Amino acid sequence: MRAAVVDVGSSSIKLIIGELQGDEIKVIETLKNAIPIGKHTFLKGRIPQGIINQTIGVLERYKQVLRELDVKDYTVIATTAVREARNRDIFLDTVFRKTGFKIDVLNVGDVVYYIDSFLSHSNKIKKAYPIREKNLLIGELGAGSLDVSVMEKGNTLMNIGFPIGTLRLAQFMAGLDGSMEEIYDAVEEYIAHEIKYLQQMSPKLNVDDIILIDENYSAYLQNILPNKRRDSNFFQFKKSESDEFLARLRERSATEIARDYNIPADFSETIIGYAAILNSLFKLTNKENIYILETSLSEAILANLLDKYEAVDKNNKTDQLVSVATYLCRKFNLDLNHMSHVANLSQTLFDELKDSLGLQEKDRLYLILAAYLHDIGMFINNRAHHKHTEYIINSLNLFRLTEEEIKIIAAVARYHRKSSPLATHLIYNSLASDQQILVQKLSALLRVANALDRSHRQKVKKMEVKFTKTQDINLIVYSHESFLLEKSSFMEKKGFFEEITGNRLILTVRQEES
Amino acid sequence: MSEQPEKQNKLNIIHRDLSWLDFNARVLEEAIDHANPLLERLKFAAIFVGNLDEFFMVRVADLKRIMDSGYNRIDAYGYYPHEIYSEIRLRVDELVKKLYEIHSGRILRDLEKHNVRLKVFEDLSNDQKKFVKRYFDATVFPIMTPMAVDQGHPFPVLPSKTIAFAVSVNRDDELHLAILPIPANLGRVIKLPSEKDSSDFILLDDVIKEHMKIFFKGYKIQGFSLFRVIRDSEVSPGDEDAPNLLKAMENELKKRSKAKPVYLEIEKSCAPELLEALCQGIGFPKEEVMFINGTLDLAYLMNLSAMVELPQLAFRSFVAAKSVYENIFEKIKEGDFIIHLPYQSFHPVVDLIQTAAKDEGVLAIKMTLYRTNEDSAIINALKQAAKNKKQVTVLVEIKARFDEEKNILWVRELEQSGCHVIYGIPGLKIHSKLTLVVRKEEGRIRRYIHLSTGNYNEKTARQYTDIGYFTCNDDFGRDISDVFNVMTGYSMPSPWKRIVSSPNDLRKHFFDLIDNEIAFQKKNKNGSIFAKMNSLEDSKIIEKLYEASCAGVKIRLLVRGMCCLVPGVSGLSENIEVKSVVGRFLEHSRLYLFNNNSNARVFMASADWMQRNFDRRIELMFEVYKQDIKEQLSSILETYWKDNTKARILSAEKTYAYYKNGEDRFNAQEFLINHYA
Repeated sequence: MRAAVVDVGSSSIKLIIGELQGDEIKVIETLKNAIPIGKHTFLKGRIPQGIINQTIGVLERYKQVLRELDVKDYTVIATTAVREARNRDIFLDTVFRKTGFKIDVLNVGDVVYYIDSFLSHSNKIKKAYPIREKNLLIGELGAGSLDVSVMEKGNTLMNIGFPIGTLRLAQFMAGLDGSMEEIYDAVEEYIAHEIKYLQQMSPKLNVDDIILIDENYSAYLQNILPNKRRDSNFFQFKKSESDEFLARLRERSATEIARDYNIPADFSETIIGYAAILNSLFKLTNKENIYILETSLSEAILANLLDKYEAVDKNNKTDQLVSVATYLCRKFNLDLNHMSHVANLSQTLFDELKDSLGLQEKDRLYLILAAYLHDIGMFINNRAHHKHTEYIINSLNLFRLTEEEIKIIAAVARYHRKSSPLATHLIYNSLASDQQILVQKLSALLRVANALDRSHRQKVKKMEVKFTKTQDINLIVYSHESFLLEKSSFMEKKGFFEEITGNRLILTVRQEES
Repeated sequence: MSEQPEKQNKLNIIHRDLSWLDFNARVLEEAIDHANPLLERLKFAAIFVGNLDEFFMVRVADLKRIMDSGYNRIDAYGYYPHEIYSEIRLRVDELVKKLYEIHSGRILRDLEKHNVRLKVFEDLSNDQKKFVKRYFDATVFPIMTPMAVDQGHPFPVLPSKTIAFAVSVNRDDELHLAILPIPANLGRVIKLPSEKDSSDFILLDDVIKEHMKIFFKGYKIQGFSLFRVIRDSEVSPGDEDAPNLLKAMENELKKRSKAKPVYLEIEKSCAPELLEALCQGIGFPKEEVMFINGTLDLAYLMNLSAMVELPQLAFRSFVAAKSVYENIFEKIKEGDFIIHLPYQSFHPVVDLIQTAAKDEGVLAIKMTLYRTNEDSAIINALKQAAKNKKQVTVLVEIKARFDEEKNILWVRELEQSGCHVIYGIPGLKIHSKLTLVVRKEEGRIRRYIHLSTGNYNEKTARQYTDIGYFTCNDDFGRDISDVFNVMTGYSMPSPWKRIVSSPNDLRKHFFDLIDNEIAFQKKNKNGSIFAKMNSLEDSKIIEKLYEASCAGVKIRLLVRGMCCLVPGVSGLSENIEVKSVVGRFLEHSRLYLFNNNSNARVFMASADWMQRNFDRRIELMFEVYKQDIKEQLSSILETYWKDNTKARILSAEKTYAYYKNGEDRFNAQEFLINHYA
């Protein structure tokens, strides 16, 4: 089994080819070409034609290498520099037409998801560190952004992208007019201001450790701190070391850094940003250590591709997203019991009716997330909360979901009440017609599930779904309590379901379990 | 600039050009040495001539360009351009004089003892004269064209190394100059019908001389003289368009025949007015002409030696030792191994490519080809591999000196058969010799590597001593794979585990190794360096070696060719010894051994200690870790060091001398033939 990842990054394009050898992933080839996409995107907002052509040239050569090593399983990803380019779609289309490579543009959540998944499943790291028992802040520092995720005992709570990648910081610094001292102070303030958002999001940020994913700079720590030892690709970096590291860099220009510490020119300009980020992470969390993991996003994705986590991946994606959804419920002060109960009921309905409604397995996740988040708009206002729900969901960082998928979830949640799609509903109408049908089907299920917990008291202990001889659908719910409120709500909400399915929906309440 | 450093330089260092001429003088010694069989002596004389031509085409041409530009500063060796030029001319004159003494003396006399004669027309028998007449009429005359030189016909453009007659002819009391080049596509040596047990030969120039009149009917031949011209060979296509390097190279080669002449030899008997006209026509200063009293261009001796069928007059032939194995891939998998050419057979290299071309599991073959032979089994195998849908990448360095025209031919063939041919990186010569075979085994990738100090040339593999290294160690695999990706422009380099390369790190790596020895010398008194290479010229390395010597590090150097370092000078290099082995095989392997506190580190490299190797070429060096191979390599070095027959010792006075007679004679190359047999 052999696979490859091509990473169209902010300052370079890389190819990594690996093979599964026993339990370990063996990297058999790595290629790298410096193409400064980020420099253009971050400064001018777009990728110039010349850079597009260079990219195509590099990708063509990578194609040859993939042929040489007979690699058929590969993925091509891009991050911030492509994602934020105004001419992103033209770029993607041109690259596809010329090379046949379909680039998967990752968002913050995706990046963090792959990293988290890699961390949680890598045996090596598990041996070195009890990752599933800790509350962690995991950062991936790229040229364009610092992508952060907060994990609680192996479950993701949130992920945030900060536009403070090392290249961007270098560009920011180049634009400042002041003494080295002043410029550095400004950078520090700039980073602190960005990172503060993390505290606002989670005032009681409870972090045991910070893990920073870094494939570029850690190799040069030794040049600057001669006593620093890296025994493996996962090691601790002390606060005192960070202070010294920063102090040494602060008093030197990029040229001097390159000269005095023998650091390649492309890194000497940006390494100060790296030091500043490390410093700010220490400040944020008041920790004495940061763990540095020398790996790359490409390696994490490669591990994913190489089947290693395939079995766990599907569950993991749902579990991690549910974990994020649960975190959001708490954060927005939603009734978590209600939300998860509705989600469970929705799942039961989905599983039983999937085939007859022509639904696909992947649609389940949309329904579950919509169920968890359908009341999130209450945070803004309880009146017309479904409308607020829609735009809040649409603005969330949900990983491994495309923009379309997030729109579907937002729309399903929006239609959990009485109103049905109208020509004036922007999000719904931006979807393709088959996606619109899907939204209607899922929201019909959500409405019924929600009705069954109208009192928010989780009265349903069990639910069965049966088709009668006349093709009516009989929902048998078992409950010890009075079900009057739910029943009336059910009668009110079932119409949409019947309209869509063409089946009559009957509710049977039983006191005892059969 | 003060005079002091200049003098200092002249004392501490040997001028590279003079040192090179010393090397060629050692080749000439081989033409004299009676221990060498007669036909081999002929070859050595011819090699000497070929070498000297090359020296003029490159080094003297360079110097002349510098002088023409008016540049007049002392070089790194403390010489002004005109100063070194006259030294070179002086030295060349001496050597050429010696060559002709040997030629007309020993060589021709000894040949005669074996009934081999190089005859002139008058001495031929009637039968032989008839034969020559027929040969001239049928073969020579039809392809020859005399070229008139007058106002309507400028002096013809003669390619480098052309031998031609300058003829002054006369009609209606008017004197004309005509040029009659000797066809280069006919063999210069012609075998004559001879009596039993004897072989008679005549040179093509003599045959033409005899029939000169036929070319100039209606004219009166006033006089004629044979001459030969050598031109500047610098080929430098614009580097900016590498994809068209091949095209650019073809164009440059066409220009070469017009390049500036750097050497002109003329028969001594040449009449003054003819000499005048000739020098003017060619554009060469009269005072620099080399007058030859005898046959021009003794390179013919190479052809002659091949045409004499007296095997007892050649080196005792030997069969290169074969490696015994069933399948080359299995053999490599058993463990790293080396082959020592020419004592051991080159076959495993050819076999690797041939097997790979047919093997189902093989996905890709990558190779650097620098100089290869015509009709090469390797080229054929590569073409076959491409036909079998393997991804074949060939990195070609078409700037390999003097072989460009040949290279262009087989490069075209490779391209046509579907190989992916990539030309060198502009501005950098790829000098390392590498092969990488990517093979799928049970679904996994395994990489087979061959690294060599010598070219992928089946012919020179029988004449050059080189060492080839086979491995499938994956650290090498990753590195070499990356080297190819860098050389083909597919990737920026990443840190390598096993190899060090120029132009980036190589010199520094050697410096570190030498510094280590200095440190060990200070601490444990056991610093020592033992190295074998073709040339030692890099001034920074020389300085470093002097430093090590002063610290007490014992340094033994086997430098076959030029060596700018002066050994044995007290206070400078008293701990350095230099020997040069010039013998039957051309010493070509490069090995570097550092004592490392009695835990020797041994390196193989494609690089000499020359500036161009460090700064302008892609060279690789790697460390040998496997204990038995380390011992094997170290014993090879010791074997060469023991040689007291073909080895010459470089003295503090900058001269080379044989060992004195009387000791037990030990010839390393002969020893190794028997050792591997």
